[in-house]
This record gives sequence, C-alpha cells and structure tokens, in this order.
Amino acid sequence: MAGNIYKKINKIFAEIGRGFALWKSYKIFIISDFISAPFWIYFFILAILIYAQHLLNDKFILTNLMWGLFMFFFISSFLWMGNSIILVVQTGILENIILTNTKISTHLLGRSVVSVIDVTTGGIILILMAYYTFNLTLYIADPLFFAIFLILAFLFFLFFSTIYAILIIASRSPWIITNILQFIIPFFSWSNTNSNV
Amino acid sequence: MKRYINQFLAIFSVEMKDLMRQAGQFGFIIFLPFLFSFFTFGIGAGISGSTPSLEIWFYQIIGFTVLTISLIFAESSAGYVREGLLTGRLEYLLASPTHPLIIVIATALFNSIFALSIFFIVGMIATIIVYGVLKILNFILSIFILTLFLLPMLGINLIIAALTIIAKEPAGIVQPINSIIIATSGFVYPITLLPLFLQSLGRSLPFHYAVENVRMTIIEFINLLYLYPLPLLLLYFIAGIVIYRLLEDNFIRKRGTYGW
Repeated sequence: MAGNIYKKINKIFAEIGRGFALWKSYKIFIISDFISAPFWIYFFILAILIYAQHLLNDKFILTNLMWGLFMFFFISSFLWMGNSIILVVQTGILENIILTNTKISTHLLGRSVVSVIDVTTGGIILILMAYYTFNLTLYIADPLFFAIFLILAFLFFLFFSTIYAILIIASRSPWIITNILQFIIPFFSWSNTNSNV
Repeated sequence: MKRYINQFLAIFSVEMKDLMRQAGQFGFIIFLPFLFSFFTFGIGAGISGSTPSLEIWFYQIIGFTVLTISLIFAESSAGYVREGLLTGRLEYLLASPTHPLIIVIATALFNSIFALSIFFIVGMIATIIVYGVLKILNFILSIFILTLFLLPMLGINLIIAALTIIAKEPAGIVQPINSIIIATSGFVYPITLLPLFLQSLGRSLPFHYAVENVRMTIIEFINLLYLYPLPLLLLYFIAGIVIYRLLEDNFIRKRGTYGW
C-alpha cells in the first residue's frame, strides 16, 4: 500500500520535473509570450469596447473585462494542454505511458506546469497593463479564497482537459475544435461580462 | 523557362492536394471571422445593454477576415520552411535544381488564391446581410484592392521565412510579430483608440491600409486618394526579396546547408 502511494508520488514528481524541463527548453516562447501578451490584451479589450466606446473610461466595466481576460487565458491555456495529447500520440509516447500503467491525467500534469506558468505570466502582464495603460487597480478582496478557488479551478481544468484529450484523440484536426472551444467556453460562462449588467 | 514553369506547377499542385485532404481546415477558416465577430458582438451587446449596430458588426467581420488572411500570409512561407525542415523535404527540394524563389512564389500564389477565396465567401455573405445586393459591385472591386495589398504582405512573409531558416522555430518569431500586427493595424477597431506610438507602428505596416481600403471600397467606393501609400508599401515587397536572399545566402555560406 505504502509502496503504491510512493510510486504514484514518484510519478507525479517525475511529470512535474518533465513539465519544467519542457518549459525551459522553449526559451523563445517565454520571450515571445512577454512580447505578445500586452498586444493581445489591447486587441481583446478594444475589439469588445468598439460597441460601447464611452465605457473605455468606465473602471467597473474595464475591471470586469480584465478579470474576464484572465479567465480566458486560464481556459485557453488548459484546453491547449488537453490538445497536447495529440503530440504524445504522434510521437508514440502514449503507448509507453499505457504500458507503465500511468494515468493520462498524471501525464498531463507535466504539461500543466507549462499552462500554470503561462497563466501566471499572463496574469502579471494583465495587472501591469491594467495599472499602467488603463489606470485600473486589480485588487484581490480575499487572497486566501482567491488562492483556494485558483487551486480548485486548476484541479477542475486538469480533469476537464483529460476528458477533453480523450474525446479529441481520434480527431483529424483537433486544433480546430480547441480554437473554437477556447472562445465558446468563456463566452457562455459570462467570464467576459458581468452578469449583473 | 519551361523548367521553371514545371517546378512551379509541381509545388502548386502539391499544395492544392494538401488542401483537398484537409477540407475541414478551409471550412474552419471561413467560420473563424463569423465566430470572432459574433463573439465580440455578443459581449458588446451584454456590456452596452442594447443591440449593437449591424454596421459595426460588418466593420468587424471584414476586419477579422482581412486579419485571418494577413496571418495566413505572414506565416505561410515560415510554416512551409518549418514543415520542410521537420520532414526533410526542404533538403531534397534545395538539393534538386528547384529555385528557392520558385518555391516561395508557388506557395505565395497558392496562399493568395486561398486567401481571396476566403475573403470572397465571408465578405459576400456579410455584404448581403448588411447592405443587400446594392453593394455587391463595390465588394467585387474590393477583392482587387485586397489583391494589390497582398504584395507588400508577401514582403513581410519573406522576411519571416528568412528569420525562420535562422531560428528554426517559426512559432516563437511569428507569435510576437502577429500580435503586433493584429493589435496595431486597426482590423476590428479604429487605430485612433490606441496610444500614439502604437498608431505610428500600425501606420508603418501595410495591413492597416489594406483593411481600411477594402472596407471603404465596400461601404463607399474606391478612393484613389486613400491608395496613396501603396507605391511606398511596395517597398516592403522589394525589401522582403532582398532580405530573404541576403539571410538565406549568409546562412548557407556559414552552415553549408539549411536547418540543423
């Protein structure tokens, strides 16, 4: 029993290690993310607010949009994590994972490190952009609850992405489904607007 | 000359066959401008609390279509180089007596036809929805305007392709360039909403003029006054060819071969 738990923990740490190695091996993407994120934020905010340009100075709306964008980064990043299973299949790694009796969710945990780092980077850039370009202060009313809900969201999306990965595994062009879902899910979750408005 | 035509036709037909095998991809790219424009339309309606005007939706769907085309154009040769490097196809192509510029021209022409087909389908539907059949002639004219603006875009495409040969990983280079193009060119909002330095950046690239001229031709009519930057923007095309040749020659001289 104890040996079994030890094996599982070992696998989890191996996957987390793999995730960090994966992230470090693509240094150009780290730089690319830092350059791209502010432009994407500008694009999304202005593409939406063209319908109500007078709200460009409305701090309440802008703050909600910023949090909506954070959730968009979150959902998008984890959907692409699910999509990464295709590369695992194409490179023949999945066969070995199944042979070693490892769960796909455990394997995806490694890739989730990249997603978590991406979301954190996006979040930091979002806070800086909000402050320096839109004169907003994105404050967290209760940091403890924020942390708890982030962990819950992480767990939810980890398992959601695992189910998603299994569903798209036989698909010919899964990137099409991922591209569509990354917009549809936040849209129908009201994460870009305030439901009270 | 016949040899070059044969090389061109061979590459072009391979690209066509590749597209036929992935018809879903074509359908998705047509669907994409609709998805994005309805997405912003829906959120815009939610925020403003009223039904937004269809003219703004039209402004955005044309913008999203030109944006999609620009992105395909910006990274097409880079993607071709990357795929060629991964599969080893590029080595064979370059070892054969195929001229590198023939490869670029063939893929660019294929992408132009691909891009204009997308614009034709999406733009036609959007024009009929918002303006009815009255503006169809204007719309057809706008296709020619867009074709003119594809040339400077091709120059940028060549520069990105050359950078890909050096850096080997196009996504890392293409992503930031794309995000700058997307945010500063005023595809789906007037660039006057941006800070001044970003406006200047947008005005120095051909994409802003492409989308503005296309929209203006459909809504009003062709205005030669607004085409004034075109001769200047063609410098991008010339610069693209020169930079591509320089970087390619320099890389081959140093490494003796393409890629790894």
